[in-house]
Amino acid sequence: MNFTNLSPALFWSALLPLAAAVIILYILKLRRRTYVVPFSPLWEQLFRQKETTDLFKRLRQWLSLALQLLFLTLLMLAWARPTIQTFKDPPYLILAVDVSASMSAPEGEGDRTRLELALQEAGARVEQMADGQRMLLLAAGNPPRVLVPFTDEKATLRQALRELQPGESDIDWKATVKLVRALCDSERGDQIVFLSDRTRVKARPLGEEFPDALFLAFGRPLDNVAIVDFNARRNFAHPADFQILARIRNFGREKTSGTLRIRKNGQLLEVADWTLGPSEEAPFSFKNSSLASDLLVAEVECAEAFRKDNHAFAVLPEKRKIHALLVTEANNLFLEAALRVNSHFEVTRLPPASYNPAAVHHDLVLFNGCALEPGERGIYLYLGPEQSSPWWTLGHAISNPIVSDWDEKHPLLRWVAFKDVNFFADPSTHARVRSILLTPKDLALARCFEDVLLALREEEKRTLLCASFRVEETDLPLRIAFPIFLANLGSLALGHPPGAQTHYPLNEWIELPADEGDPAVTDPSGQPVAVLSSQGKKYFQARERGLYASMAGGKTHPYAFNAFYPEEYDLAAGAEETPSPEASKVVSSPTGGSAPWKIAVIFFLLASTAEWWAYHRRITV
Amino acid sequence: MPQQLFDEDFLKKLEYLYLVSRKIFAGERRLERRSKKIGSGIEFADYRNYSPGDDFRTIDWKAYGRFERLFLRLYEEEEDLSIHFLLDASPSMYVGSPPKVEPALKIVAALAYVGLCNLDRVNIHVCSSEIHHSLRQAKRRGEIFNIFRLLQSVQPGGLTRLERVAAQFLSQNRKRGLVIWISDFYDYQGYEAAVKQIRYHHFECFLIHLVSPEELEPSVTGDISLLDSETQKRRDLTLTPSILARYQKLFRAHCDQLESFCYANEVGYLRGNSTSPFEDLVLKAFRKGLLVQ
Repeated sequence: MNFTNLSPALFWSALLPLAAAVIILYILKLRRRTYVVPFSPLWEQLFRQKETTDLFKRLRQWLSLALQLLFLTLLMLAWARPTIQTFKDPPYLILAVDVSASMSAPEGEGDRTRLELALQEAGARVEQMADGQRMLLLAAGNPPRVLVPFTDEKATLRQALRELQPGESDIDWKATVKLVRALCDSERGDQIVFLSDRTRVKARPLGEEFPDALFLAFGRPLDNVAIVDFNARRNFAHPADFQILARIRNFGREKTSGTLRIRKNGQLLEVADWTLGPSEEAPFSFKNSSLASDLLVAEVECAEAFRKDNHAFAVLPEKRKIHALLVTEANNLFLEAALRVNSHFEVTRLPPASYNPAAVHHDLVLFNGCALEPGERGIYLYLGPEQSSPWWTLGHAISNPIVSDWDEKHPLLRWVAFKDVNFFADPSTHARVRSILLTPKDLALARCFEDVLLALREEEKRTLLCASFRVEETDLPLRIAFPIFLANLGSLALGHPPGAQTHYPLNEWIELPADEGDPAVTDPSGQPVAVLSSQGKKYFQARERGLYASMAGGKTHPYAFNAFYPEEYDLAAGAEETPSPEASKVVSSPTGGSAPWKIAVIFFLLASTAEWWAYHRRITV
Repeated sequence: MPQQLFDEDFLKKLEYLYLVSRKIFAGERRLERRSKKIGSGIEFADYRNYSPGDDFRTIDWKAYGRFERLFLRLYEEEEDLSIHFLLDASPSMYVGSPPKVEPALKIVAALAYVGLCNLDRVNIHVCSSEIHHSLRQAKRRGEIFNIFRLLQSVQPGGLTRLERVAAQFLSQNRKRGLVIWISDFYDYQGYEAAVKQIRYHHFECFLIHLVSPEELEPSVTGDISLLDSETQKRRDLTLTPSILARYQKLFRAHCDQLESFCYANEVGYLRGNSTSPFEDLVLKAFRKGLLVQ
């Protein structure tokens, strides 16, 4: 027999002293008071009358002790939650523990988190492992990790559980399902236990893939307000200024008020009060001309228990103009004017004959209708190259071209809509719109169905972009998408080399500047972060949000890391609210006042005290 | 026994008891006792026929002149009364709060004082399994302090053996008198033989039976270990109200049995509570005719 809450050794080491204490108390209770009488023969007559009942009396006393011991044993069993190990128990158990951000939410009034409750359950399951049973410990996060492969060594499992910490990201369900699928052998009868604050319904990808898995959900509904997005960028309307964007969402079930504070290098910069109803979201935008190369921190202040998601960070890029070189045969007002109208751009125009790749020092080079050799570094955009080149191979001509789909998530196409962009109905023009043939290094950003219209190739020090059409032969310059595209292009140019980006997501490998020797990276608490080298490049990874810094050659580059996972911050729909399908189980905090074993303990203590107090005072036996 | 047992207050009470006894029995002759012996006293008792050898001085010549027969005038012989106090000092007398021996000592002292005031001869025997202390033939009032000293030196003795005490007493005291036995009469071998033995030797007998409230109505309940004060034997018992009721019934039967026995054998009997004032018990004893002929 194994126990859920206690190890067998702990169970017996707790039960036996308690039983001994009960027996000692019982013996003490049996110590009779001495009553001196002058003449006992009178009492002897009573003894003779009562002799026949003595046996029953003795039996009744022993019965009382037996009942006390039985009650104590039942109490201990209720606490220990025994399970009978049968031959049906699976020999292999995959124990997946959710380490996503929501698991660090506090549970109840104590200091315990949902992860600690899950770890307690995991620990109990480790302790109740039967002989021959093997367990694999999996941390379900982003990315999922196998902490301990299949093993029957409880000490190893315990150690891994002790070292498990909640992350700040979500769960990579795809990778998790893939990993579990690779680890689980259904023919062998492996059992999967998922410890999370999600029930089977919320952990749908895993639940659908493994219908026999056991889902144990922890946590109670909790109101929460979180920063779900935060960014700082140049204001396109006023290029000299920076624009701070933030979005706050109330995930709770009640109307909540609070304050949003933006701090610049530790100094208060902006303050905004907000009031949000249930599930409401509020965007905030601040304009400020005094920002450049600053560290920004956004803070949300309101009454709530989970405050991890109340901070966001950004590092403002260097405030400088984008040097753009436009290589074109003739005046191209649509393109040149669009560039010049943006005061961030400092545009230089060159005819193709004057172009010298060795002399390029610009951030952005645009080739309009030509395919010349790019320089060693920078961003190069080829617009409507008429023929193939060593850098881009053109395919067949596209008749009636339209932009059918584009990568909206790519930074270059952020907030850019190519929908209904018209290409001029000039057959000669159409003939110029040709499909771009991709190499394995290339990424298609816009397509006309199967044909690639816009391609991206990122090399070590330069980025090559190719559009198979000229902008002046479309109505793109008339659309709002075009200046945004150029602004994104400018932002990409400013973000090159790495380090100029305002913030980065967690768990991504960030490339460090390669020409600055051996950089040392520190995390928000000042602790060093491991830097990995691969093919001459150096990378580091952030596990928690905050401001990191890389120091090399006397220079310091700040990095801001944020985690925006609205799904993780929605704590209002706790495990208890979600109806649990079969094989799911909601486990509430054992610190709750309604725990049956607590009531049983209180009852036992009260009964024992009352019995002890009343014993020598009772009128009847 | 504490020295304060016979303090000044106690002595005042003794005087009071003595005065009360005189008032109650006013007109009675207190200084001398009429014995049943016919002898040389001055109180006429009876006539009898003359027999040769009788003392001529007792012939009633007036009766001879009238009846022409010789009659002798008989007079009652006056002699002092011997009062014997048998005080039980067995361990059972020391049980209870206050112990029964305390009122017993006071009663003995009070009655002895009254006896001394009446010019009786007072003998005190402290006994348990046997008589282990005695004070004999106290006659003067001033000897009451010797009695006090004796009573204050009383210590618990051995097992109660009434019959052995009676036998020892009778062997030491041939002269008849009044025996006042103060005890709880807890004897494993019974009290009947002892009392009958004393009665058989023509001693007047008066039993003062002392009980404590704890014996009458025990207040203890629950699981107890019963300890016999004399044998030191233990017995575990769980006391319930029903058991207590049965015990009280048995105890009352025991007391009634003793009283009935005394009545049947012309033995004076007085039952007293150890918590009652001793003077009340003494007055009750007077009303029962103790020390009054």
